[in-house]
Amino acid sequence: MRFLRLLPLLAVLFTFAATKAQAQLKWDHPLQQFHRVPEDKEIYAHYTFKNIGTTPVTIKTLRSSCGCTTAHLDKKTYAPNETGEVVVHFIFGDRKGWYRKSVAVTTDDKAAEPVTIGLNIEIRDPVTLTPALVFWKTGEPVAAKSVQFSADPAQPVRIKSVTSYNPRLTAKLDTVKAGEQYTISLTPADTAQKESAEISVQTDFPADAPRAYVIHARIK
Amino acid sequence: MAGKIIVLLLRLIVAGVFLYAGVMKIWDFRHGQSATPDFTVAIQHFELLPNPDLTVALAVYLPWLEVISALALFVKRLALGAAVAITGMTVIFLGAIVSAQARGLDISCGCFGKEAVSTNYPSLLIRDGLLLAAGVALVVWEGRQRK
Amino acid sequence: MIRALRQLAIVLGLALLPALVSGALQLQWNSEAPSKKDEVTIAMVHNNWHDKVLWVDARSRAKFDHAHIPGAVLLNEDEWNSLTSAFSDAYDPDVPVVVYCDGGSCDASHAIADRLRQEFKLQQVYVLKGGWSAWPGK
Repeated sequence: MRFLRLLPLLAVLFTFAATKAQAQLKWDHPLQQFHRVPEDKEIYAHYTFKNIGTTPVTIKTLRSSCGCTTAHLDKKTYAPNETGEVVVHFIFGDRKGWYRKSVAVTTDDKAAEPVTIGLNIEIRDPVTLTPALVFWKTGEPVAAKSVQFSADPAQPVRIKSVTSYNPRLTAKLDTVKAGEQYTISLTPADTAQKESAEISVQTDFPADAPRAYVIHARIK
Repeated sequence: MAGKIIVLLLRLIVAGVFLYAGVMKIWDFRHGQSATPDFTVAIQHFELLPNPDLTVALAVYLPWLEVISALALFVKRLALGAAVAITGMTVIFLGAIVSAQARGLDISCGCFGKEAVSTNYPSLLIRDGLLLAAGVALVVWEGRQRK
Repeated sequence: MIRALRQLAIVLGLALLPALVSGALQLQWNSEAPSKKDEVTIAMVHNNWHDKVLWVDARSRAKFDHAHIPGAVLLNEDEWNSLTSAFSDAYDPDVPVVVYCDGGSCDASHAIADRLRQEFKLQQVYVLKGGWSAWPGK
């Protein structure tokens, strides 16, 4: 007799479990990976999906993880078996290295959790220049400070010139291994007073628009 | 008899919710550290308190009030006071949520990291509304007991 | 009614005891050095460095222009190349750098902090726990 009282409860639990199992939108490639260079400036990634449920699905919001990433959708409601596409636009800015940008997609399907689609992107710069800031305290002994410039052996980068825009701070270039390793030595005329200088390191890569890197020098 | 069972269930559910909520605000088990800094930040998101020291004081006191109230629900001589405290806290939470919603604040976090979702106001309000109803029921029940 | 108030007072008072202990512990932890994770709280900045830090705002220019921590320098990933010069002007090796972004779980502040450590080889770089939302008096 007691079992009869449990039946409604079981029915409720069963229906709840059944609705939970139905994810209505199936995403083909929710996480995509890319390799780009800074000159590309931006990327458009396409995320196709299909409504594999039995009822229409409306996409309600697309929330991105930062202002540099926007998501675009042609229309919001998709009938069963209909396919669609979200286009994610990521603007690089001055970013370098690996980044993960994601977009949270919520639908009107109350049983489904929001789905995260996203991209992993490597914005490759073969050059490493460290430290990009050299600092002397006023009164500090006048000594040269060096900055290391290295390029990935798979992508050689040659330094064509090193220019200091402040005559009281001289820059000297030493080639350790052409295309791969250079040392830039910076020497102030003296450290008696405050100085500020930007040193420009002009390279030959990429060939169509060679990059110039900046070293910041300060005496304070 | 049925009344007593319902009241016991209510007490267990409300106490369970508040005990869990309180403990989670005191200690971050996942990272093995105090959860007070995180809770302080969460309170700040509501932008209701003018003074940072008040915020920290509340972040320290409130979780303990939740824990003690939850436990006191099962102590005959304190059950009424505990029910009042719990009802009072729920009213304050509801007020804070309504206020945040009215000002369009996103109280889940400032921006997104990996998987965070924006504030789901309706479900928060429903949850706290139910707690409030349970709290009031307990106050009424306890108030009628002769002790 | 009186019974209710009396019991309420006892409950409120009982909760005060562990809260005071917890509060004292928090104060003690706040005055400790930043954890290995390089995160600092406003309280730590106040206790350890007497608020003498270089604040770095890693948010968008629009948010920075709207409001920022007084004295903060804007340095975000969108305009890193053009903003590093102003950062270099503000930088002092004796002053700790604390980077903040929106708060919650945004990672822009960690990205900027990592870049400052790797590219600029700076030593004392930290991230503000809770970010802009942790800053009182907006």
